[in-house]
Amino acid sequence: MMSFLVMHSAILPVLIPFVSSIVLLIAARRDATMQLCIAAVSTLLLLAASAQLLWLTDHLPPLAYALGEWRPPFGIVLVADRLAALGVMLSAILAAAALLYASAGFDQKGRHFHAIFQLQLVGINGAFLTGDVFNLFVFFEVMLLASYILLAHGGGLDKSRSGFAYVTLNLAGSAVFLIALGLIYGTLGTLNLADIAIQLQTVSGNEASLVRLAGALLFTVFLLKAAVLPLSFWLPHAYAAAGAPVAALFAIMTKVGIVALLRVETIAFGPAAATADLVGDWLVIAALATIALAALGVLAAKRLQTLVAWLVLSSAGVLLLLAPLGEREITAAGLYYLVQSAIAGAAFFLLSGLISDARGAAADHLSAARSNMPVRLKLGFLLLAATAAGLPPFSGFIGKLMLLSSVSDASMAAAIWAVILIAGLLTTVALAKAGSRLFWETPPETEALPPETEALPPATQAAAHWRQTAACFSLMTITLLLVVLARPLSDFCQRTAMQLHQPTDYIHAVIPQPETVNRVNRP
Amino acid sequence: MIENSPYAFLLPLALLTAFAGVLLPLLAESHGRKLAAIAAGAVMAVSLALLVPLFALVVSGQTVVVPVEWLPDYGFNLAFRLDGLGMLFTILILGIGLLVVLYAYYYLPDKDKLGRFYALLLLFMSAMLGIVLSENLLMMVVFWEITSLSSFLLIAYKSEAYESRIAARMALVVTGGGGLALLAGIILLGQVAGSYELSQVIAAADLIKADPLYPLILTLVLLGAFTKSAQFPFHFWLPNAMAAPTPVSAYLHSATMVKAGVFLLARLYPVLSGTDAWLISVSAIGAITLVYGAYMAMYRDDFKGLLAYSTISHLGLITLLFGLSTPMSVVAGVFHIINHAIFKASLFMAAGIIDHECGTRDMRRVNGLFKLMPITATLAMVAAASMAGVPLLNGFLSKEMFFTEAVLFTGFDSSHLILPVFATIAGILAVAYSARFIHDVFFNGDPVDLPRQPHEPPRWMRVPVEILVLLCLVVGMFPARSVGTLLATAAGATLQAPLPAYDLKIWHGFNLALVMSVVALAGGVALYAQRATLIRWNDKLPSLNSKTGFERLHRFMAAQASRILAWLDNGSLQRYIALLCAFVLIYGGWASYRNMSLSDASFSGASSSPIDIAAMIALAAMALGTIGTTLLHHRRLLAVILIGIVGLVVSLTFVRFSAPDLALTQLSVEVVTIVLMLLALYYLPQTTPKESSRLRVGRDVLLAAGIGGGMALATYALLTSPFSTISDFYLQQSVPGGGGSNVVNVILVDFRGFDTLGEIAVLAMAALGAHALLDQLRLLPPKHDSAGRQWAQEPHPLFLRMLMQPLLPLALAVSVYIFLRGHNLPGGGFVAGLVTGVALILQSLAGGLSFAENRLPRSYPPLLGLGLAFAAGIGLVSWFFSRPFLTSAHGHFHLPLLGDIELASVIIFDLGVYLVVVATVLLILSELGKLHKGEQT
Repeated sequence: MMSFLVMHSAILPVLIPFVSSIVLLIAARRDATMQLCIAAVSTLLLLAASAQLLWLTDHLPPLAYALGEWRPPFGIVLVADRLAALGVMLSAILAAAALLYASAGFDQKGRHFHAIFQLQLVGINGAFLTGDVFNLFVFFEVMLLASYILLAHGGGLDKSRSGFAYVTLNLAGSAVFLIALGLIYGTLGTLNLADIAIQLQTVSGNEASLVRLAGALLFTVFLLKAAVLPLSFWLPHAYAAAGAPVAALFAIMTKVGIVALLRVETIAFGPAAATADLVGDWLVIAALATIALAALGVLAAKRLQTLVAWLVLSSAGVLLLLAPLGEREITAAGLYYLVQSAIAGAAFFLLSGLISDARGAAADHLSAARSNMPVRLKLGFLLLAATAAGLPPFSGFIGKLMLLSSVSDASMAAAIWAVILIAGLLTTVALAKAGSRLFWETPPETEALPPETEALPPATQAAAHWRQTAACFSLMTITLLLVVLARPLSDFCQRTAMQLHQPTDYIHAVIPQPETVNRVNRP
Repeated sequence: MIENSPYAFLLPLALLTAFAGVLLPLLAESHGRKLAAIAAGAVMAVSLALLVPLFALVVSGQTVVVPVEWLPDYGFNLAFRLDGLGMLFTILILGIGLLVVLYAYYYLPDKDKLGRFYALLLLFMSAMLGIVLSENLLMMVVFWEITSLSSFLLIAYKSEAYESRIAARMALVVTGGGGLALLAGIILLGQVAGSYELSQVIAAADLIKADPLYPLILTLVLLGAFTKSAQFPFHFWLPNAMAAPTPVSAYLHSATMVKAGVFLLARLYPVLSGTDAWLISVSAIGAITLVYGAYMAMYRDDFKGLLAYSTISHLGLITLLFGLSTPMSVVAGVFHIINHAIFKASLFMAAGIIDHECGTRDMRRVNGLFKLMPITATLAMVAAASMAGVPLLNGFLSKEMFFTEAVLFTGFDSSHLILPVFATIAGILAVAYSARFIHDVFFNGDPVDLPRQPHEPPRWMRVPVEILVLLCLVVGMFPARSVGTLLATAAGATLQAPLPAYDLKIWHGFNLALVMSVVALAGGVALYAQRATLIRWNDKLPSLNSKTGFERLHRFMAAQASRILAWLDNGSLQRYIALLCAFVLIYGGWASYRNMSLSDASFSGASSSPIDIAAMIALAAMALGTIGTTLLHHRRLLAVILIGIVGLVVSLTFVRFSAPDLALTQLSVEVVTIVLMLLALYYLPQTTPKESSRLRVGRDVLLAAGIGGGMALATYALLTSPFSTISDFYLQQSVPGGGGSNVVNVILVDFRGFDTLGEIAVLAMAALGAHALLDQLRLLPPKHDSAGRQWAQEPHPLFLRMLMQPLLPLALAVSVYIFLRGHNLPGGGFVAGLVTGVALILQSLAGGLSFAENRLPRSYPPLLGLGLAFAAGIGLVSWFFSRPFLTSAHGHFHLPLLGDIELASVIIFDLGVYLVVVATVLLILSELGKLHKGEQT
């Protein structure tokens, strides 16, 4: 049994939610309790499978899982290395919290929530694990469609409008992805990432420029998912409109784009001479511009969830620095930042949902309301705001410290420092104001200045379901654990970065003997 | 010098106790406010008691360092350090902290349970202890920011008051921002020094000062110090922070937190001082702050505001002393830290008592209190005299040292006079505002219209003030015996060098410093006498309300941010797509243009098949269809039909290039999607209004031309380049490995079956999405078309129905046939599913959607699930044979009746595909049908 689980460990994070979604569709369409049980069991299994994978990948070289037993590069291969396992673990944690939160009633606001939720996990985990670029495209599609439906879950004008823009833009991105795949297959004759890495080593002449075009298109798609400026505008709208648990799960989605970018760049395109400069200083500038844009958004936000959405964009901007800087130490620091920003972002979305519920009609609008907020929400806000602003002693600070100290020798270090630090200050300014508005101000203000927004009627408070509170506060506890366990996590990130920056291990795990791969030349 | 004492563990233990103790008052609160206070006091007392055993070591000149490794990769360790400077601050923090705990118990109203207050106070106290006990500089920054955060919460303690909220945010932004600069400075410092441990940083001092980064490091560190210690021009947060409860003002904003900045100057003195940059920047900012604060203090009507500006001024003095960088000035600076903490804390507490008793802090109304509360008045006057620098009090001694240094200082080449003059002016101003405080509050007639009738406070509320005032006197009269050792140890630790020779005594004989003191005293009193003139003159200066200014600035920034965002992002999908296209064009163009040469041999030598007339016509039709769709997209029906033409030609193209599978699939997909689109179109307006401006059309034409042209070029280059591929594997392995001779189908269900599994999941989700999104949606269909013509009201034509019904079994038979032969000949689950779908759509069209719906199963999601289950289930079967997911098996069987047959497990997979496709088509169809129901009811 044990060896059986180990043997299939790389595919379990994809299959567990897939099978659950099937069971949900067939067996539990009407019974809400039944649905919840299946979804809960699935998520618990996913947590276990992810933990197992994390442990395995940390102790073994990358695991290649050849689907249909077709030898790579001919068949599709899943490759579980530390980075993939980390992503899968993270998505399992966020999924568990989001599901717990949604189980308090949100899941019944529309049809098929649980089935689609599980398929969303299929997409995310598949995207982290796959070692085949066409398969990556498929998982991106799974992710896109599932996220569109989840985004619209619950209904309303905001959701429909931002969802439509989201899905249309990303479908255009899919078209770009397909063109890139066509170009790659047409030049390199393969879709396997490891094989692409091998083939890229010898590419030259006109073929090189086609491959470069393919790489550029591929990176464009990843950058669209990661929401780099000027492709970032969809994100705040979509993430602000989604229901709180959905937005919490989405906190991992920009990370999928970033991880894909990092992986394809470090394994295949970066090491090859012909394509080494595809990701360069220009992306550092774009990433910094994204952080700056997000800081403006944070300042301008009129709702808490919008503000959190901009914070997610800001952390995406920070993480976009990793690929162009391309240093092992920076990647290691960035991976810690990735973990903490995903969890803190998800927790913040859930908290925003709780706050919104507690304020009744005022919801999460950053305006004064006559409401008595529970102390736990105040404390939670303080914790997450400080984390998001990068104030010590929380995980946001540690992540920022690691990044700042590791980038100091990089090109444009001064600009990176300045942007990150100033954006941190602006975030502090905005969050202090937001917290003051949400928790301290009461409507009849005798201010020296007239109030900006009209006070809303007294809140009709609904007691939060314990599951919602538990979901949010478990994630917060994890952010605190990220501080206490900073050392082991940081060490793991170091090992992950080391593996990532040693592409030969990955390639060797997938294709041990490249010379035996039979290729034919086509005129 | 660094000692590893067996008691060293007490150092981290004391800090841990302090932080853990934060929770105690919260727990004690429910047992009464008194217990909360006792808990808070106990935590401080225990922390102090834990440290006292180490003090003896420190006094003997040793430094206790306890390193605990934490994140060595980033130089971030939990390293603790207790030296003379740390010991001095520890005593100040815990000593004054204990007094504040007692004081606050009486100061805060009885209805306040105090748990939250003491918890925050302890949090601050712990962080402050952390700052002064850190060996690792990064750890110090962590504590530094925690003091900012806890100060924010303490200032906003009365969060219902507007002033408190604004002041709290202002303090957070200024000190937190300074903290960020400090963080940057410390990281750079550590990287230059090669370590963040203070001992090693001090050892690397010369290296650091020689480094090209030194000016930047100095600037960043000073930004941190100056914001925290409220140095000009970052001082403005401190007077506003007086909105905090007075115990907080006494503790944070006079005795401890604002001293963190000067502590930092002292801490890094051996590392950063000794350069012109340090000398000029630190002493200049200190001197300006010294005079500016003193000047502003004179004009405050609010006596707490007066004390706040006086604090700014005294912090400026300490900064100036550290800036002068002579060993003696450092001693004076450290001494003044002690003295200022003592007299200013007592003054704030006295001020709090007066505020508490009178209900106002306006010195135009609070007058003549000496008669009403003589003991408090006496205490306050002694402390204020110390603030003014009156002999026999501690404030006099350090001020005298400052004057001496000012006279002796020779660092500024140009003028020796400037410093003594500055010092005297500051001295005069200090005497003047101290005089105002004493005279206005305690004398100057009778109280004016006070909200409350003042009298002496409770006995124990005055005790902290009494203790501190007693200290003023003791230190003032017996300096060497009382604080001599402490000062020497602290100054020694600051200098990290032998102490200069100095004499702590009151009488230094007649010298210039004494003259300056006398001038200051006399001048100050004279100045106060002329106050009316001065106030009139000052009123003419433009006043600046920093509170509203801060809020205005915030709103301005937020509004500007909104404007910029609105300008960048108008929410238009068209713009998003245009940006994506432009990104693709620029990035792709740049990437492929490099090392591309169109004259390369491989291009010219390309082989191309001749183009015949039929192909030409087909291509022309496709091009016209595409252009037509774009041009006519305002007329939706036409646009959909034109898209249909494009699809049709694409499938013909597949036929021509011998890809019957693709052609078949394309054709059926085309039919199904066009029909579904037309059904949906029924509910939409028939035309789209023209909204695009000429400019935007131009932009879009350019982008489209660029993308289209680029794609054409890329495709041409691709088709004419030779390449090597692995695709022969599929041709070779299709029959032996996959058990089917239709390679396309074997790729779909076997070689890349996992992709197909994902794609049918996408298909299923599309149907489920339609189900979820259209749920509950009821649309009223239009009564007439855009030209105003009525829709035909006839029911579904009988003729069509008669024709279609016999067609159904035929179509189903065809789809079964296509399905079964799929593995070897063109066909397969996907096409078969589409054919079934088309047949059922036809039935619906002929008989009406509700007609079809009545005859078909009612719920499709389980069917979708079933399809997925078939596909995934057969994949899972391979697990039982210890094979990876989706491993196929095939074999040759001899079956009765059917004869020899080649069976592959993937046929189950294909069945799953079939079911998903059929269920998807039907689900979407039935959802559209439900929309129609709205029409009938």
